[in-house]
Amino acid sequence: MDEAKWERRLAREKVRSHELEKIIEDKTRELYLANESLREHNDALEVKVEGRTADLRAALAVAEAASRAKTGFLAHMSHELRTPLHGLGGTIDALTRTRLDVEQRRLLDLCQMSSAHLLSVVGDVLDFSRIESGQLELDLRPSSVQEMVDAAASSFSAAAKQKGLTLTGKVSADGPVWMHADSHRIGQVLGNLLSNALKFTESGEVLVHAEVAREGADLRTTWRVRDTGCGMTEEATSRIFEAFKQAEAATTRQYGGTGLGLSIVKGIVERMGGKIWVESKVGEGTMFAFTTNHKVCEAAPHGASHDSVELDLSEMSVLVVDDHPVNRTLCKAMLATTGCKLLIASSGAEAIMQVATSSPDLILMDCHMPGISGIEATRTIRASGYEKPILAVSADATTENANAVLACGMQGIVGKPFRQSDLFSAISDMLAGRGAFAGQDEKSVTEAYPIFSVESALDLVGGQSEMVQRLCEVFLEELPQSIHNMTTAMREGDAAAQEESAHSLKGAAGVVCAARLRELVIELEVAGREGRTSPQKLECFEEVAEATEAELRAYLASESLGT
Amino acid sequence: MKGVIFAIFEDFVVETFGADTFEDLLDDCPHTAKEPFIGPNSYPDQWLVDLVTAACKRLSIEPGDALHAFGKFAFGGLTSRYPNFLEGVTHPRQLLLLVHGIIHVEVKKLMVGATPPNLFYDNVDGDPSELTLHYESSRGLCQLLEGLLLGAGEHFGVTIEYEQPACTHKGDARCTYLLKFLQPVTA
Repeated sequence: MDEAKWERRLAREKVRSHELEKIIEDKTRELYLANESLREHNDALEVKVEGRTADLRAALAVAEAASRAKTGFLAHMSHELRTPLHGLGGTIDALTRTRLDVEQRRLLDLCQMSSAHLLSVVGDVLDFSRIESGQLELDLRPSSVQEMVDAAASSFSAAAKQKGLTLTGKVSADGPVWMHADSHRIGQVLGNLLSNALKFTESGEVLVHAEVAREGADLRTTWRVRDTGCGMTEEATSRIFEAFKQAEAATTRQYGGTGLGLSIVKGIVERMGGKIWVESKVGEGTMFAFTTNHKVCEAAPHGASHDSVELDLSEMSVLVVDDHPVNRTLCKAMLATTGCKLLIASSGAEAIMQVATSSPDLILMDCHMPGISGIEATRTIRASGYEKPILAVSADATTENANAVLACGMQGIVGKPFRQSDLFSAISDMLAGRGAFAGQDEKSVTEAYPIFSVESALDLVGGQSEMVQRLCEVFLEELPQSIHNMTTAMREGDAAAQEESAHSLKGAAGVVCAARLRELVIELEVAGREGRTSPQKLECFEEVAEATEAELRAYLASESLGT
Repeated sequence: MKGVIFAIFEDFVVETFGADTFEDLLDDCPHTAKEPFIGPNSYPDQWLVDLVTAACKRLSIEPGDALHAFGKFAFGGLTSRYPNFLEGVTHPRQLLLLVHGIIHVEVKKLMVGATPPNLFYDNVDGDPSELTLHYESSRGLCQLLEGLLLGAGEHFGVTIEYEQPACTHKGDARCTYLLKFLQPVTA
């Protein structure tokens, strides 16, 4: 190639290289600007997302507050309605055992029926609210399928006989079947279906049938209630499970009812993980069926049945604490057959005094009382060193109340209104160590006690707050050394040192009513005495000690501010 | 037309006939710019026609044969510059079906002002060893397309036979190719 051509070609390549560089620079600038714009857009988006998140958080807080208000209302209504109903039912029961003439007995029977009906309507409304708010809780215990079917059938046998109907209960299973189920709720569903079946059947029979299929550790049960009654149209069956709906508008007038029954039944069945359906033909009858899935219970549990109303409390003293004379009278009447020595207190303050003077073997404690509540009274009683069982008696059936009851140091709860058998089985369970604490892990036991109870501390020193403050100050001065001694002993596995340090700390914690720390060191003291060290409890101990220190310091700070 | 095609043409001439020949071709085409062809820039379609015509004249070859040869060469040039477009493609039929819907769309994004031809197909879901291809372009470079097709066949080791029942050079509205792939697509 001649030189001129080479030079031309070289010049062209130089231009090409320059042009390409320029293109790269332009593209890089474009890319940079696009990135900047993207970043700005991203920042704006983040601000927007933060704003939305804050809005959502606020909305959530409002919704949670509304939910808490609803729960509070439920608890309140539960208490307000069930307490007088309990009194009414108990009083009628007591009246029926007195000498009555025929007319009085008839009137009293009417009273009893109305009271029972009112109780069931209130129960329906509460159940419906619980289902609606997702707060229906199941109490799973070993339950016998045969017993559930028998109980459902026998409770309606008189009504069936009165109408001239045959009522049969049947179980199809290989051998006796026990499962971990909420027998009360299953009974409620069966009762509702049987009540409907009897209501709408004029002749023929009603059958309640449980068919159990075992799949490994699971029991799938199909429960059926079949009648030969008037039946329903397809249109009626399609909306039978909706709330406030009955098959026909005329049904309400003719048969009564709130229209909540079957929607509650559906809610309960679904809560148990099952489904419910209905098959019906006008003039031929109706079959309601539902399924449940439960874990199998391999052996019939010892003493599982609470039907017995026998309870022997002879040589025991029982303190009944209730501000309402009706409830006190009722408890007295129910416990009369047990042979126990009854003590009565009509307020929390009175209960604290009674415990101090007579140290009863068992306390039945009403939760809601004016002045010192049952919860507060229990805290004080526990802080004073009383260690025998305390059973809560409450018309507040919410989980929150149950938690408060357990947290303050009671071992169980029996809900008002209760039958004698309910009370007896709760007492038996508790005396047998099957109370609400049974089966809980150790951490829960620890958490059941308050960190620090100023009320108890004041109570111990006759209400002198300056004295409590001084005690707390001394305790806090000593606490770091005590923590050091305890943690060193636990970490090094020195059982004797653990016992000694725990014993010393136990006394001090008791004086300032640091109940959770006291309970924990009691455990550690016992362990140390038995030659067992507890390195696995170290973290728990440190947490509780820190929490105690923080609460005591907060208390002292609030006192120094005069709040 | 985009500079990348001109640049590939330059490579084709330099590699096949030497750098001198390309300089001669530039001298033969007085209207063609004497600046280098830059890939993303656009140049008049006529310049390529002029360069090809000049090459045919200078080297005594038929324009159709020249475009064929250039097409086959250009397939390699394009795939070496844009290898991403061939990812996951194992057969020329697969590639053809991607060209208009995906590759030309991407080309338009990468090169502002690019006007690739319209390609569309019949019998897409029919016999995998056949395909009917329609080509529509104001440039009328169907012989370049044929070269590209043959280049693709060589690249994938697939022999492509074709008939061209319609051609814009014969007055048809578009060019149509009935393609037959002697080694069909395997799953």
